[in-house]
Order: sequence, then C-alpha cells, then structure tokens
Amino acid sequence: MDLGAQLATFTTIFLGIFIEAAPFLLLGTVASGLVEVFVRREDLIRLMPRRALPATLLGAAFGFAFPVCECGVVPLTRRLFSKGLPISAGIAFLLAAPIINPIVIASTAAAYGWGPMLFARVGIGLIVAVTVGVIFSFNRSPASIMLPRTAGPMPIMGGSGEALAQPGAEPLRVRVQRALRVAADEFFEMGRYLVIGSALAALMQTLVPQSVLTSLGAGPLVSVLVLSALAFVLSVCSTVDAFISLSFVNTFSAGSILAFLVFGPMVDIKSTMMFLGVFRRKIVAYLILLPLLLTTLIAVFINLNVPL
Amino acid sequence: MSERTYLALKALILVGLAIFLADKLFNGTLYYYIAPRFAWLSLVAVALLIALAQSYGLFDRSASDDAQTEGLSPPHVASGSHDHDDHAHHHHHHGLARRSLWPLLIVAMPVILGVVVPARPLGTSAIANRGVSTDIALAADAAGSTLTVIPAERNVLDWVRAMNENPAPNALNGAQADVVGFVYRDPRLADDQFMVARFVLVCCVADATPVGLVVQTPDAAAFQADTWVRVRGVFAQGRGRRRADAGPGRRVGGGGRAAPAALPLPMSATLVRRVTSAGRQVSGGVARHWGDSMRKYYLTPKSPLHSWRGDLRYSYSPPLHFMERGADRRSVGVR
Repeated sequence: MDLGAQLATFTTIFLGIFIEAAPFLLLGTVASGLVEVFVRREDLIRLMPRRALPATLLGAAFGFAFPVCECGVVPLTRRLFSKGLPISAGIAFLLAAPIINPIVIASTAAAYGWGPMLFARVGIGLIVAVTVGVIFSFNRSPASIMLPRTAGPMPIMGGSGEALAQPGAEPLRVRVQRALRVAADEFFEMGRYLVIGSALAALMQTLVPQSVLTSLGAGPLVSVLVLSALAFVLSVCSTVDAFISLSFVNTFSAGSILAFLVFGPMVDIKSTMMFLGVFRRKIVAYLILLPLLLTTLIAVFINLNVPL
Repeated sequence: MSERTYLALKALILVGLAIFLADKLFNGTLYYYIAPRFAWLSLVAVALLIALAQSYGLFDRSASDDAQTEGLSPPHVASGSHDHDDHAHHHHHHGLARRSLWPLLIVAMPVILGVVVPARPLGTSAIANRGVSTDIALAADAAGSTLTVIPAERNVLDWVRAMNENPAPNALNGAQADVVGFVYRDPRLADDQFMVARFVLVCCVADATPVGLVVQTPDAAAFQADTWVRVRGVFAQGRGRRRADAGPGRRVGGGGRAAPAALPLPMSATLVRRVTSAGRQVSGGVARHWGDSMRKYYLTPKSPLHSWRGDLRYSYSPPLHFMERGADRRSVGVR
C-alpha cells in the first residue's frame, strides 16, 4: 500500500473526526465558561444533597440539563468540580451526559423509534453512570482524582467564585465576554487532546482492518466486546452513533448493540485522551474499565435472557 | 514570547480554524469529511471560534489598553477590582507555567495538515481496511425507499438496495443505470471488470462504508483506480459467476447463458450484476462484509430493531453535486 494514499486516507479520516467533534467541544467549553461566570459556588453546594447516592443521582440527572456529548462534557465536568460539585455527582454526570442529553435521545429515537432500544440505552446508561459515581464517592475531594496541573489555574478549593461576590455588579456584556475568554482558554487546553485522540483514532482506522476486530468471534460475550472495542476505536460522536449502530442490527444481537450505544459515548479514544488531560492516570483507568465491565455484564445478560 | 504575543497567537489560531472551516464549507470540500446534513454544525463552529477569538480583545484597537490589561490577567479576575493577591497568584500560573508553544501547535494541526495534504475524498486505500460491500445492512430494510427513486436517477446505493430488495438473480436484467463513482479494482474481479464505488456515511468519514457495482467493459484496464467516472449502462446477469465457482480473481466463462456483451446496447458499457444467492456474493472473500459470520448466531430479523425508516440519514461522500465539479471525470464508453 503506497504511503501517499495512506497519508491521504489518514488525513481525511482525521479531519472528519475533528470537524465533526469540534463544534461539540466548542459548545462544551462555552457552557463551561458560562458556568464559571454565572453559577455561584455557594448555590451549587447548597443545591447538592449531602449523601452520596442522591448526589450521584442528581449529578446523572444534570445530563438532561446540559446538552453536551462526550467532547464537551469533560471541560464542563472539570468546571463543575471547581465549583464544588461532589466527586460522585461529577463522575455520574461525566458518564451519563453523553447518553441522556436531549440531542442524543432525539437521535436515538429517530434511529430506533420510541421503543425498547431507546429506553434500554437511557436506562443502562444511567445505571452504569450512577454505579460508577457511587464507587467514586469513596474519594473525598475532586483534587484527589484530578491532575495537580489542571487544578492549578482553576482553583479547586475556593477562589473562582469570588468575582461573583456581588452579582450584577458588572454589566452582562462584560460577564459574557469573560465567559468566552474562559471558554477560549479551555478550548486550547482540551482541544489538543481532541486533536491527538482524533489522530489516534484515524491512525487505527487507516492501519487496522475492521475485519481484524470482527473476525475475533461471535457469541454472547465476544460480540459485546467486539462492538465495545469498535465503539472505542471509531470515536464517533454520541449524538450520531445510534445511526451508525443501525448498520449492525442485522449482524449483531441487541445486547451487543446496546454495549456499543452505552459504552461508546462514555469512553472512546478521543475522550480517553481528554480524560488524561484532566484526571490522574489511575482514575482514567477506572473510568475506562468500570463502565466497560458494567456494560459488558448487562449486555451479556441481555444477550442471554432478553429476546429484544 | 510576551504574554500579548502568546494571546495574539491563540486568537490567530482560532481565526485560522474558523477560516479553514468556512473555506471548506463554502467550496464544498467539507463534504469530503462529514455528511452534508451536519454542515450547519460547522457553521456554528465558525461563529463560536470567532466569538472565542475576539474574547482575547486583540481585534479592538481602541480598546488596546484594555486588552493589554485584560491579557495580563486571567479571565475570572480580569475585571475584579479587588483582591490583588489573588491576581498575582493567577498571573503566575497563567503567564509563566502555561506559555509553551506545543499545545498551540497541536490545536493548529488540523489547519496545518489540511493545508499541507491536499484535500481528497476517501478512495481505494480506505476500502482495503473496510471491504467493499453489496449487502450492507443499511441497504436492507429500506422499506420501499428505492422503488420510489426512478431507475434513471438511482445512484450506486439505490442500485445496491434495489438488488437487495429483488433477490432473484435476473430481476434487474436490462435495467438502465447512470451512476457516478470512483474506480475500485478488487482482486477478485476479472480483467475486463472494475467497480464503480462510493462511500456511504452516516456522520463523518470515520463511519464510511464503501458500496459498489461491478462494471464490465473491454477497456476496463484504461481506468485507473480512484479515478472518478460516470458509468451509463445496462444491467446484465453475470457470466456464470455463481457462488460455487467464484474463486478469487477467477473468471468463469459461458455458463450456458448468452454473454451480456451480445445485448444490443445503447451504450458500450455494461454494468454486470453478478449472480448472487442472497445479494451478497460480491462481498465474499477478502472483502466480505464484516460481521457476516455472526449472522447465524444473532440474526434477529423481525425484532424491534428494524423500525428504521427511510433513507434520509444516509449520505454520500462526497455528494454528487460536488463530485461533478471537482473530480477527474471520465465517461465510460460515451462517444
């Protein structure tokens, strides 16, 4: 295979993933900037339940409120942590938002109709996100799971809310401008991970034939792992992955497709890169393995027991 | 590098990305990368990028002094008149620790790569990793959608669907086709055959699936791989390429039927529909549609999964209108 053609293919796929994801990252960073400027730390802390489970459930439910998918959710989660969001709620939000946000629900409904696939996707997504969130509630502070570097410029404990001590003190235009400025800095911070992640995903797609993955085997377990791996490698946005999964309905069981639809949005190559820019390595490993384990368990159970 | 230069560089990269996207949007090459129905998202991105770039306050000359001050202080204390300690603290982080060039270079990579490497739609080299398909699942179950497209206007995907909807081997015999695609040479094809192929995509090229029709013409060898061609012709049944004897690259002559070339053709090219049992023979062998082996385990043909409607969600990359303009066009057998 000649190198020029390979480079052209790589470039096209890389730009494809990047161009598709960039608007969502931009929306995420703008949401993050607006949270930074308009959400007061005290309000958020007052709003959040003290106990782990209710806080986690509320965190997952935030996913409905913020229409962000997996690219935008990382900066937004980090911002919410800096505003005092408890760990368990933040992790649940991080994992649930790409699945239960309104855009994704709409696209899944468009692909599968208002039926069992949609409800299963949302339901399993919530179960996995809340479970992982509760597991993470054993950590005390967000600082313990985040890289010290990212905790630096955006103080985790205190500080960032002070400019808002007197709301309304500055005109709206100035505050919006400030939110945009925060968003711009964050775009550079997260954008590089998106670029590296897109490049890795494109490289995989250029060099590794899909048949390698799918020839690994069938069966209730392996087919789930195959589609999870495919979701990881493809790194397509969760707002459109339902359409992509339609092309598997003839070849794969419902459980395997649900694994694709639940695990894929939570973790893929580009979001892993973005996780690595925010969280400690050990935490990133947990953020990949726990959802994988849980979705696999549920998907295999569905494969074996539910004639969906 | 001064803080101000650094901020200017950031603003420049944001504007560069915006121009890059806008350029692709307006000259049509955006559709090399994403499905046309997501183009509006890129427009949103252009607007947001410009909004972010202007937030660095460098475009406003009259407010230059303001920008200078603002540039030196982190955003969340920029306009706070209080708390000087906090200000100094943040300045340290923002100004010194994070003023390295490589993160900016990485973010600028899409523009750099997009300028250095000429824009090209996916082609033959991408098929090698995916396998061309005539029975992609998305072609199935498109309830009646193809039949609403009149034959003269069917594109490659429509024809592939039509084949899947009419599994009888000679259902399409004599049908006239006029399609556009790029030349793909599959090792299993005979010397006088090539495939006219397109990519079908849902979202972006990361999920592109190639589809193709076999073209049979004496001057097949004259068409180089990846050349864009417009093929007009008539479907004829393949020459004895039954599933049983369709070895890789093997050409089986005769087979008891009249050779399609003998048909009185209005055009000299012939689109050969190969004999298939379930419409999927062309995707057999190396380029077999992946996942085929799992079919027997998890085939759920009448499950609720099949409530998929219409074909609006699938687009071609690149779309027809652009390809006509920018591609290297040659017509097969048109005098």
